[in-house]
Amino acid sequence: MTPDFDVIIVGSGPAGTSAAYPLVKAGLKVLMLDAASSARSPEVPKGSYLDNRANESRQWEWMIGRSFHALSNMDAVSPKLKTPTHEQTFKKFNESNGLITENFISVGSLATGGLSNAWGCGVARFPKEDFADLNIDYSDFEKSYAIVARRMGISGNTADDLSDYFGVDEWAQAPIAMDRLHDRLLTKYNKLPTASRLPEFRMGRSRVAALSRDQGDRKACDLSGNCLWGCHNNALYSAHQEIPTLKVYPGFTHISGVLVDSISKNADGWTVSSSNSEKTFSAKRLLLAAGTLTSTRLALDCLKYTAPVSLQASPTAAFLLWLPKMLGTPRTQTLGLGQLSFSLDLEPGVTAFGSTFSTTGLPISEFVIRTPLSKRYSIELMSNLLSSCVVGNVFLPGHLSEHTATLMPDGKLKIKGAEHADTGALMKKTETLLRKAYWKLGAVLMPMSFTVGKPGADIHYSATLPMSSTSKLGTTNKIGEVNGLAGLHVVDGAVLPKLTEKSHTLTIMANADRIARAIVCEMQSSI
Amino acid sequence: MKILITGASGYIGERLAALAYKEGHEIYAASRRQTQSNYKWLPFDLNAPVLDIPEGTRALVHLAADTSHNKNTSADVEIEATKALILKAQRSNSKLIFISSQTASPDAPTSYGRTKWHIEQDVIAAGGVVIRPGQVYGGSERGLFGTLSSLVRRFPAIPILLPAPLIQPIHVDDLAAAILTVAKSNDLKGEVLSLGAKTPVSFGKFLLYIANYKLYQSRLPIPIPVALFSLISSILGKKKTAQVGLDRLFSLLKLKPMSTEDSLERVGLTLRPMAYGMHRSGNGRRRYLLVEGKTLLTYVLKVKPALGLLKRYLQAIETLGDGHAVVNSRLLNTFPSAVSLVDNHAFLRHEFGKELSWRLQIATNLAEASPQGANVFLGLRNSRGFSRTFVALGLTVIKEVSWRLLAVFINPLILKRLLERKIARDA
Repeated sequence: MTPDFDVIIVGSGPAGTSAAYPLVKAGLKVLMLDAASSARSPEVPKGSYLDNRANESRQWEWMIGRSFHALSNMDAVSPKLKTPTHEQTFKKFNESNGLITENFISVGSLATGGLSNAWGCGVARFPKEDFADLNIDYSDFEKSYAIVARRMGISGNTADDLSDYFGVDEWAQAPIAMDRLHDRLLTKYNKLPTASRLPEFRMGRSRVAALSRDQGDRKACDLSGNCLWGCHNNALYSAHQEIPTLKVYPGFTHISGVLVDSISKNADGWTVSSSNSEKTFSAKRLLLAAGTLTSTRLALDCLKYTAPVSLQASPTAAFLLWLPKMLGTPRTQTLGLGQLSFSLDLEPGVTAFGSTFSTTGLPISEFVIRTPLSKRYSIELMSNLLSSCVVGNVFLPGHLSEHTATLMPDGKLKIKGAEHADTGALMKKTETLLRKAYWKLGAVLMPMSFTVGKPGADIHYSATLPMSSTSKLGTTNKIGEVNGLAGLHVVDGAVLPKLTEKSHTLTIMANADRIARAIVCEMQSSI
Repeated sequence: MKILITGASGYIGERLAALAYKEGHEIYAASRRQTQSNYKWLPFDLNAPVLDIPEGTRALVHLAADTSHNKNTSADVEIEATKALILKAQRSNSKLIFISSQTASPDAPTSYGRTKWHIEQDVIAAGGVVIRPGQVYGGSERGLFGTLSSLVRRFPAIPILLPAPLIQPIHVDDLAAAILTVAKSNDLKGEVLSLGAKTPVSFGKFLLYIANYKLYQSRLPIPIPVALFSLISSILGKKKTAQVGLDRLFSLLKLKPMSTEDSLERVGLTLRPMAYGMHRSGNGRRRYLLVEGKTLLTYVLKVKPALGLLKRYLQAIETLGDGHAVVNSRLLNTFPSAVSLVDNHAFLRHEFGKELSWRLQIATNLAEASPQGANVFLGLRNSRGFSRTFVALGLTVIKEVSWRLLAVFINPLILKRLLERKIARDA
């Protein structure tokens, strides 16, 4: 029996859509599946955030949700998980995909576009060293970086201390305007003589997948301040924006509402089946881009591999910075993504990376519930204080985690969270160094505000089926092909050889593009 | 369905007739005077019980009784009247439902109780149903409930009798619903149903409920030994004792608690909590939740919440929580800023504080997502420069510290009392 398609891609997020382009451009017949439900999210707010907040009596519909989504998820680790406009992005991921967790926060997406519907838009390039021992032609990787970076549209191009660290300026538009607080921080930083700077700390503009110039149907950021709630300009990149473009190619088919729960190899290729939609499809090759956790479960299940595999995630923390001189600054709306980023050398081979954000577009309740005062006075305090504060996050490299994912006899994937022995001390060091570094910039890292996230809270799950030059079971080759299962490629975060502290989405996309181009070569040469 | 009600203009009869009429039944009201034009009137007097039961009447609810105790009507008259009704009911093939009294007993201390018992025997023998309600309350101020309400309204104190008489309250509408269920049922016949709260409450507590949840008044509870009333009664003499209603008190004291669980189950009835039943509407749940919402939202916002916001609080607690109020203190409701006393970690971490802690978070999140909240949370109207903001921060800290100190000086047990669920869920 001839398979229905040349390639099936499971997942429509950044990895899946990036892999799809080379395939459809080569004229292959591609089926993309995702498990998105047809339920609709509330409309994203239009117009400017502060105007809406001051005047719109129906703001609760996108802040809380008609079914009180935000209130049912008050304990969630990130405000994004509480946002009604993102409810469909995260909904039912764990239960649908058979994931069970222990001391680990597992977040994923069944939606078209996947987690990129609600991401922080951070982009960075992984340098050649991060793929050492892999025998990969890095110039080929660079080519992929350029392709995906140009397609998604990134901004933040400035010659600053982080230009090399990010390594994406050649493809980036100009930066989006900063608010007064970040302006001040950067001015202070630039004025500081090199000798008085903290040597471990470098600061620069954040490089983000948000437009500062119109690109195609997407409009440039107009600073309306709705980043968290959803951008009416589509200035923020989401993989779901790729679907209409991909559909232009005659070989491309996209079907939603299909939750793939098992995959199997047969004589002619691969079959995927979905019990929720009672459908099966077959193709010569199968690409898993369902998100690291789901792709891992499907691949391990197919391998019948029940030993624990290592799962990397970045230890993460959040903190509040106060700029006393800016006390009493009026609220103005601004970009809700990272405005300034930093890298911080902790010890040889260990660097931390983070960004700082405006507090304006965030729910202030997030701060109120963390303040050790009564609600009434926390609110009073925050209403006066927060306009002179920025919030920051920080990520450490994934090798500082010792999480595992294990295929259980019932086919579920059990994820067990465990920190590396050094992580606690390194987090302490991070806090100390950041406090010093920002003090020199006239900002106070607020006492008790440095909060370490629970394992998995970074949502940067990676390296469960790492690309490797060995042919060990439970790894993949340099084009993500699962060792022992010819024709099955994993193209998402699962195959990253390691997770660094940097934002990894751009790299996942570039890698998916690179793998897909290699697959095209293989398939065309076999004809 | 045709229902004939004797005493349809009485306390219970009026509610029963209204309920049955609302359900679309045809009501025949048998009473001395016509009171309601919606019902068909049949002239009826206990002293001359001539009544023609209309053809096809499904049930005859006998509520008419002389409750005055002043022997306007003799026991025999009542028994004879009922006997006549039983005969008529049998002849017209309709079910007789007799509303008796908890005091009914062959050896009751009052003739009232003994009379009721005799009538009960005849009703059961004829396949009718006897309903013995506990203390009926709620709705308009009639019957004993009316007397007690006006007493509580008039006097600044509430007697807490020692030893405490125990009563089993039932809301008049719950009783009416039960009677209607019996009227409609084919299975319920030839039996006695005892209806009232499963767990008896003391008479004093009942009066306090009238004060707190009906009249919204504070009344000082004063313990009084029953012996004192016995003394007063002996001074007043029998007739005066009856006139001021003291004789009812004595009969209350002699009441033995009824087991109501089986009967409530037979008629499929869950009684409303007494605090909700005391409310004018008979359903205070939403009202108390709205009061709580107003308190918490005002505490958070420092201004009265907009109506839409208040309604969202109600809806949120009904959707995500149990829908019942937990903040139930007049102090907090009058001075929402006093919620500061209990809004601290030391208090909220206790088991009894958890629900409040959750509701405070709900109120905070909901309050923020409104134009009122945007001003308060984002300080949109603040923009007052460095020095004034600095002073404002200082004041915030001072206010917080003051409340904390106050909370330290107030006994935590008193704070806990502010939150105790005063509204029992299964009255």
